[in-house]
Amino acid sequence: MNTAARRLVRHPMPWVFLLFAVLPYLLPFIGGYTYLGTEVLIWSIFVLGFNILLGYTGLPSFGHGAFFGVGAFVMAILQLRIMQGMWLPMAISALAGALFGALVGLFVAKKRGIYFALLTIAFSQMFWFITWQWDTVTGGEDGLAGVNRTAIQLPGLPSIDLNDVTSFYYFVLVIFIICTLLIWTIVHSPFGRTLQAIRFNETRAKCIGYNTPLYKWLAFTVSCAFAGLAGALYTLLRNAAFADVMHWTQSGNAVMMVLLGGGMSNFFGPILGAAVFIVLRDLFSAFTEHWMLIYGLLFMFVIVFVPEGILGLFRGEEEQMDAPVSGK
Amino acid sequence: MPGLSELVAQIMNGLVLGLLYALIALGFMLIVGVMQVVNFSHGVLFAWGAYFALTLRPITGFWLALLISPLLVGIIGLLLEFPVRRTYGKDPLFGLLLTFGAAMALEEIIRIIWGSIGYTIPAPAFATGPINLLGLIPYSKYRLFLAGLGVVLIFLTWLFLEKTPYGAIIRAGAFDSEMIMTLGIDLRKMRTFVFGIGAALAGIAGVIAAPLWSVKPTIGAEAIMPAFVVVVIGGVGSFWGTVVGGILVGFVTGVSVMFMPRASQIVMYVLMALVLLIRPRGIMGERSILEQ
Amino acid sequence: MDILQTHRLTKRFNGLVAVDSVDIAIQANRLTSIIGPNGAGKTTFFNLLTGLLKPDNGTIVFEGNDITHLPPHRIVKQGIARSFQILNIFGDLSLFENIRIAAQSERGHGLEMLSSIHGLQEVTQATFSIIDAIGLRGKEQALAKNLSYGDRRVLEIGIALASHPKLLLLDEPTSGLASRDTGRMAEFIGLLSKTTTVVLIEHDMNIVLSISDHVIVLHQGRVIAQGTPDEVRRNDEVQDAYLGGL
Repeated sequence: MNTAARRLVRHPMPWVFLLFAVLPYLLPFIGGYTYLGTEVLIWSIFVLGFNILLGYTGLPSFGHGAFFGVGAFVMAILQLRIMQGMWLPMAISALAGALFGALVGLFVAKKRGIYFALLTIAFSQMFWFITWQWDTVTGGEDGLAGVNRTAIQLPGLPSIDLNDVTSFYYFVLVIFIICTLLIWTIVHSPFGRTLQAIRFNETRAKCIGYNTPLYKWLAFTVSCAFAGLAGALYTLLRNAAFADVMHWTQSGNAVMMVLLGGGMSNFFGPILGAAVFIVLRDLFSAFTEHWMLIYGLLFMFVIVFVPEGILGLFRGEEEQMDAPVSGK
Repeated sequence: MPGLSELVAQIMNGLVLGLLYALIALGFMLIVGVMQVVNFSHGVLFAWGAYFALTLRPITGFWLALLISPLLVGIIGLLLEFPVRRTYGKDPLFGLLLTFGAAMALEEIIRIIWGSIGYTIPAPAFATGPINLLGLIPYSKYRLFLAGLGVVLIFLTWLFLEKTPYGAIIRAGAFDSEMIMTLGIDLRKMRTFVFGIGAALAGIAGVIAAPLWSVKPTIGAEAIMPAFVVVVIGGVGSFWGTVVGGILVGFVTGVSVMFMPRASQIVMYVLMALVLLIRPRGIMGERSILEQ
Repeated sequence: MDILQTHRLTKRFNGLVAVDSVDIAIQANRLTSIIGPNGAGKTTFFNLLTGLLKPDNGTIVFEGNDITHLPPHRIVKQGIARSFQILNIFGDLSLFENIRIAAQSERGHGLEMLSSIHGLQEVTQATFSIIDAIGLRGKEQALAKNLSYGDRRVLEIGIALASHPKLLLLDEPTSGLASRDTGRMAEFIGLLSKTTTVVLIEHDMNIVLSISDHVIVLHQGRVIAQGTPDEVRRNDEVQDAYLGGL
């Protein structure tokens, strides 16, 4: 095998894609179902993008669910009120996420640590209340139902009906693959490396010439674009946008997914975290209506006993994202 | 246009709410300041205070419930501090997440014990009914009582922090743990104690707010969010910043209920955004540890 | 020719004057040392020069431009780089990355999001040449925090060098070094001063006297003496302030 092929085989990414490609066939064996798989993909897009901000830049946004919510609602509002179709609303949802992210980012870009976290929580609450109160636009308590998925028309092929659960899964999978490759590129770019430097020593990053608030703002905005896109996909999944996407627990869940999977030190951590999280939630809620208690205790358990996350357990002492750069 | 008595009553409501917010935020701020831990479960502890009062009141009457309930919540706080310990000195994310999980668990336990429906709890007999302000304007006796109690509690907290040696240690510990340790003071015990005190403050706020806010599992979230906003507006690490911030937020919220009721819950966030634009550190914020 | 001038530069902390109306001129292509007892305001002075602190009064002029109120990242772009007294490296990044990220900034590639760092040939070459200059070839893969203290001190300067500065500010670069390493550091700094203007904060008098062209003495935030090393050594006020036993 030549070196290029060898490198490809050793890289986790093709394997991850492969696994997800066959997942709908594997899921029934573990008591799962395709819808669950689609959820995992959608949340993976969300938290991979979120991890640009959290894992790579080290900024603990505890209100990122709000941008997921923005995407979800913009998708619904556009399709129900303003335009037909799916692609354009999706794109606009991602842009909306980015736009709101850019706005909030202006307030938080110069902060870090707990202060940063507090601010993002407060802003996300603002979004929550607006969603609830502005019910003429968002449907308030009832949300907005009736969103549909348009069939895909590829030239020369029969149209693909996305209402079929499996078809929709593969549709989302393609978007997931594109997003994952995009995010991989971003975090391994010069920009991405700068974000890491800011995470590990912001002062020194300034003193070597980086306008760090600008970078933080950009990281924030970019991560919100992915959040918005994921939110739009979620609306398509449920064929509706409900206010629960804006609830503060969504933001906490996102952070938990990153941490649980080991996203603070590994690119793929968020994906693993999202998968474990969603599967467990499904499991627990099947058992008892008080699954929140088990959930909350699980959070606490992970933080106390496995703070480096699942993939972090395989990591050892190094905290730097992925392998050290060596110039080879 | 609201009449004068309505206006005055609403302003009073705002101030009363403000005092309550200030009280809640103080307990929260104590833990943030001393341990740099954002205690997400602070709101749920507030709820626990209300629920303990709900259960105790018929048995012990108002005043004993007011005393015992915060003690019980304080104990929960002391217990909570054990897992929180693991997060000291680490990325603030860990403390946030841990207390976030605790908040979820604690809220669910409330639902298991007391159910999800809300209860109303009446004001104590001596504070029921209206009273006439300045002989002209009818106002809720209980709210006045709450305001008075709030002032007393805030004053007692201030007294404790400023005038007692233990309070001085706590204030110093917020900024210089090395010094604390060299003085031979057990840092661990101090932190546990502070967590307990912060929780107790949340608990007592829950007791006195209960007749006003009713007692349901979600009041925790209703209590914690203003606490975040107050701390950001008032400036981290500042006692008076928290008090002034709390009163300001409560006042603005209370008054906006009159003019734009649907936006009243959002007003505090708008206020926060404005304050941040003009004074990024908060009204009385100092260069804070939280920015590290 | 003066590359840097400060006029009445002042900084107060809560009533305490850390830097008191300081007028200093740094000549280009010379090695200037700043000495003084602890608390004399030396590091504060550096912090003011590099934009980490805002002065309460006074101006800083670099190459004829007023840089007094510029933020740190803009001051670096003007051509001033600085190393820190307390190690301020990127401990969790590799040695290579520590330098590369600084070189990347210098070349202006920070905002490129969709390309790979491996395409930045210039940056990689610049990184290797700095690593060679500081004598740490072969250790590129090591995490910075796992390097020996001496190597980390050298890295501390290397990061500043990667910014290709016209003026290099070194804050107690020999701090905590064993005497054998101190000598090599001094040699290294001497070499640097041949191509860059260097301002050095130093406690080690031997170094100061042997490699400095010019010495400035700070005490309680004020300049109490300056001149050649010999002149300063013989100055009574300086001897009183803290030298003793030279």
